[in-house]
This record gives sequence, C-alpha cells and structure tokens, in this order.
Amino acid sequence: MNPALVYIVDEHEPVRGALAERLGRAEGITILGHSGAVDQVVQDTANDHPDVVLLEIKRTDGMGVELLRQLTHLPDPPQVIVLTSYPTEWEKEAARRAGAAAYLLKEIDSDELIRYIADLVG
Amino acid sequence: MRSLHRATLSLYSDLSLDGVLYRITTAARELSGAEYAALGVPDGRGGLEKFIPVGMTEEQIQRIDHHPVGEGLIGEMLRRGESIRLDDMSKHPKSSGFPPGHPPMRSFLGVPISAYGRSIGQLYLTEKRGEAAFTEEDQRLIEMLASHAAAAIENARLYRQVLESEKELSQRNEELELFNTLATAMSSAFELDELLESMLPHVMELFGAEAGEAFLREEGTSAYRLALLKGDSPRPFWELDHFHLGEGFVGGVALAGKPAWTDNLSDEPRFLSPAMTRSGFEALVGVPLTARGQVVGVLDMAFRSPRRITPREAGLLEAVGAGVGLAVDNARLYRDARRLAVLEERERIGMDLHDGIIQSIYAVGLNLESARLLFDDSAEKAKELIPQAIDALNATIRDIRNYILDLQPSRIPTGDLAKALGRLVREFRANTLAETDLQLEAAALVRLTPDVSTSLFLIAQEALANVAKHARASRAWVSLRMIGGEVCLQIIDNGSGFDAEHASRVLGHGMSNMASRARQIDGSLEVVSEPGEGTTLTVRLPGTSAGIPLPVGSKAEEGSSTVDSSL
Repeated sequence: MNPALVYIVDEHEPVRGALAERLGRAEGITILGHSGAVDQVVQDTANDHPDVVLLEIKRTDGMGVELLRQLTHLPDPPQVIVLTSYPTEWEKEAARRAGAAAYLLKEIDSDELIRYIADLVG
Repeated sequence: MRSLHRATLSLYSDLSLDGVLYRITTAARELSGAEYAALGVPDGRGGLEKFIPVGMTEEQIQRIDHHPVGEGLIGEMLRRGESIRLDDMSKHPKSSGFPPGHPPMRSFLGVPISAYGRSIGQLYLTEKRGEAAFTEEDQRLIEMLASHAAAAIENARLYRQVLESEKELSQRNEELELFNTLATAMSSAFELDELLESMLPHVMELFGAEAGEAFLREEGTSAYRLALLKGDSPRPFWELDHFHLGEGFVGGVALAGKPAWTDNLSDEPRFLSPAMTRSGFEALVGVPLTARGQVVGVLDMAFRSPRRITPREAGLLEAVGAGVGLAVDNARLYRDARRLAVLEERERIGMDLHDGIIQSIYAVGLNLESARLLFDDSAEKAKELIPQAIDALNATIRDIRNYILDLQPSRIPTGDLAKALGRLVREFRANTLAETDLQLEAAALVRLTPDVSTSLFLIAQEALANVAKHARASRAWVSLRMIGGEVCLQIIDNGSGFDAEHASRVLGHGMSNMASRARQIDGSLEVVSEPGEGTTLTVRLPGTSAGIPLPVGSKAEEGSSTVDSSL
C-alpha cells in the first residue's frame, strides 16, 4: 500500500513541527510539508496533491473556514481533516458545509489520528 | 354724580365676573330708584346666557316660571342696541308679556351695555319708586354707568382668562415636573424590568389613572405582550395577555401609533375583562410607545371616572409615549450590547486558551510521543527531548498564571497605593521574570484621593497584565510622578510593542477599559507603541496640580523624595 501523503496547516510553528515529527514516524504516512500561511498552503496543496490535509481551523486572521473551502474546491482536492484545539458548534457545522472529511480534536494520542488517516486513504 | 362715581368705583373692587355683574345691577337699581333691576348677558344667538335679578325676594324669584328668554322687549333691545324708556311696558307693541308668576311691572328703563360696538349685556330697570316713570336724567345716569360697567365686565373677563391661563400654567408646570421625574427615572434605569417598574407609576400619576398596564412588542414578532400591571386593578385589563398588531384596543393603538381613549367601558371593547367594569372602571386611555419610527410597546391606563382627553393632553400622551418608547428601546439595545459583549468575551477567552495554552501543551505532548518512539532507535536523542518538554510546560504554566492574573476580579488597594503598586510589581516580576522598576514620588501620592488611587491601581494592573501577556518584555518600568505640575502614571516596557493602528482586538478591549477608567477620574490615557519598540502608557491627571492641596505637616516636597524605587 502506498503511504498517505499528508500536509499540515497550523499557525503555531511548534505544533506543526511536533506533528510532522510525530506523524512522520508512523508507518504509512509521508509528510509532504507544513505551513501556517494561507497562500503557501494553497500553492503547496495545488502543486503537491497531498491525500490528506490536517487543518487547524482556528486562525488569528479568522480565515480558517475560507481556507478549508479553497482547499476542497481545488481540482483533485485533498481530503481535509479539521484538527482543532476545542470544539464549537458553529465551526463544526461550517466545516462540514465547506467539505471537511472530519472534525477532530487535538488529543495527545496520535495513534487514533493515524488510524483515521489510514482509513480515510485506504 | 357722586353716587355714580361711588357706584363705578365699587365695580372694580372685586374682579370675579358674577360679582361685577351683581354690583352693576345693584348700582343701577340704586341710581335709578327702581324697585327691580336685572342684568342680562346675551348668548350671541338672540337669547340670554345669564340673567341677574335684583330687588325681588327669593320667594318672588321662585314663583317665576322661567327667566326672560329674550323675546319681546329684550329681543328688541338686542336688535336695536339702544336704550328703551317706557311708562307702561305692557303697551309697547313688542311686549310679549311676563312669564307666569312674574310680579306686575309698568315703568321700564332698558339700557344696553356695549364694548367696542359689541353688545355684552343689558340693564333692565322697572317700577320707578314713588314716580310713574323713569326720567331722562335716570336714563343718562344709567347709560354712563353702563359704559363703566362695560369696562368692568371686560376687565373681569380678562382677569378670568388670566386666572385660567395661570391655572393652566401651573398645571403645565406640574406636568413638566412629573415629566422630569419620569425622564430621570428612565435615564437611570438600564434594565428593562426596572425601567417599566419605575416609569409606569409616574405616567399613571401624570394622567391621574387608577391602574395601568405596559405591553411590550416581542422581539421578532408583531405581538405585544403584557409586561407589567400596576395600580388598583386586581387583574389584567384584558382577557388576552398578548395582542397582534391591529387586534383589540391595544393592537389598535399599536397599529395607529396614536393615543386612543374610550369613555364608555360598558360599551365592551373587545377582549375587556368583565372584572374591569365590575370594579368600577369607566375609561381607558392607550398610549403607543414609539422609538425610531416603530411602536415598541403600548401603555394602557384605566380610570374610575370618565376621562376627557384635551388636545393638549393628547400631545402630552404622545410625548410621554415617545419618551418611554425611547427608554425601552435603549434598555433593549443596552441589553443586546451586553449580551454581545459577554459572547465576545467568551470567544476571546476561548481563542486565548487556544493560542497560548492548548497549542503549547499539544506540541509538548506530541514531542513526548515522539520521544517514546525515539527510545528504541537512540535513547540519547530521546533524553534530549525531555528537558525541552519540561521547559515548554513551565512556560505554559507562566502563560496560564498571567492569563489568570488578567481574568481575576480587580483587587482594590486598601488605601495605600504605594503598597498596592509594590505588590503588583512584585507579582508581575515573579510571573514574567522581567526586570521591573517602581518609582513613586510622595508629592504625587499625597495628591490622590482614595477613588483616584483605586482607578490608577486598576489601570496599572491592566497595563501590566497586557505586558505580561503580549509584550514578551525583559524590562519594565512603573512610575507615579509629578510631571509638568500633573500627576502622571507611566507603565513602560521594552517588549514587542504593536502597531497602534492595527492593534489586535484583544488589546483593544483592555485599552478601552483603561481609557474609560482614566476618564472617570478626569484624566487622559496615552499609549505610544511601535512594533519592536516597546510600549509607553501614560495616564495624566490635569486636575491634580492645584486641585488637592498638600496636607499640612506633610513630609512630601514637590518633585524631590522618591520612595521604594527598587524591588
């Protein structure tokens, strides 16, 4: 089975780095890259065609949902998993409507997340 | 002529119209030597509005069927506007005879009273005593009296008008006073319930209502729901507790947007509770509460007696409706704004926890997961990750502490600003590890009242919380000094600063807090910052240069001694 190609979007660099490090050690996952900047994310995703994008939807620029919408409307769009620090109802609904494949919370048990990614791609 | 003069003078002594008319009649009777005298006031339609007889006994008056109605001689005088003198009035071609029960009369002298060519009355004299008829001299005297009488009557009328307008004026003053009380009650109440509670009794008092109700429009609908019942009606006025636009009396007032009233409750306006008429209510007045072109509610007031609404009162009702409506609208806006502020605050707290705390802990957690995986490959590399995780967790603890410091209810200093600021700075240093100086001048401290001290402390607390949270400063300075004759509080840091024009919403919130605190003590707040250049926050109190004199025997000397400069 081909590894799942994953791209990480989060404004906080320590979180992106740690996630890339952790997921990169999992079997069946290849990290294509990570970024916090909207333009960079859209460009990388369009060029590199990741299977899955992990997206923190809470952003200081308030552009989380819009970024999600842009990603799911790309030609050959990735599956987008919203991975966020705390749940809010409106955000969950907005994410669903914008085409998110899942709305998950940041838990310190990445095996769960890894299984989810594998299921989504497999 | 002297008796005429005396008679004329007496006309002016009392200014009530009836008194004047009576005295004119009596004077005419005495001057002419008539047995009977009377004065008639025309009603402008060919008859008489008033008839004042003098010289007849009560008994005689009782016996007469009715006063003259203005036919016959009286009508003739009214038409001609000239005096008539007769030896035997029954022989006059225009005589229509006396009403039944009238004493017999022969000689007659009638004189019109006119002012500015307008007939304002007539004097009738009959039965010249001891003589067969009235003389020409009598006629001349009475005509002169009549011209004075005309002036007296006009005077009395003017006086009555003055009295009436004075009465109206004092009533207006009373209304104005109540209106003011109402306005004060409304402007001091921001809570809708509290507002209605205080306002409705005032409006009822203003219009003398025994009971009153307030209906408010339900938000997002066109229904008006009963919000309050006041006064001595045991139950609501209506059998419905809400009315749609145009429905019943209340809905009708709301639809028309104009005050309405009904004087006859037994006529059963629709939906009226039968208890209303049973407990003796007779009249209802409805007032629309208007604001921004909308009817936001309806007041209805009930009266135990018929209630005429004069045009002026209708205007007053509208004004009251607009005043109360505006207050209701304000209370709603205020409540909405407060709800929104609470929601925004919650969202801000959530976002802050996401930014500062959950993300950090998540990153540490991920790193620990990676470390566990690393152990199999290289225990050395894995061990390196542990102290990093500990450092990151310690940083997170400091973040949380600062965050709580910012959220905490403000601790008010116990009258000793120097001590309170000292404690604040120590806490700040412990939490941020930033080197912090505190400089306090006694000359500034002694000028502050307890209220001002409290406000300055709260501003310093908020400012330091901002520095701890956002600035990542390694140095900070807090000072309270006299600068240019003004007390100045300054909080300076060497941290990241910000672009004042694009200050984040998080900062904006705290800034407006501090600015409003500064305004409350008649001070000003100035914040100077550039990205990367730190921030200087200054509160100036202009009133403190001469406002509060130095206490006698104070050790403080202007601009000299400095206390507690190092911590």
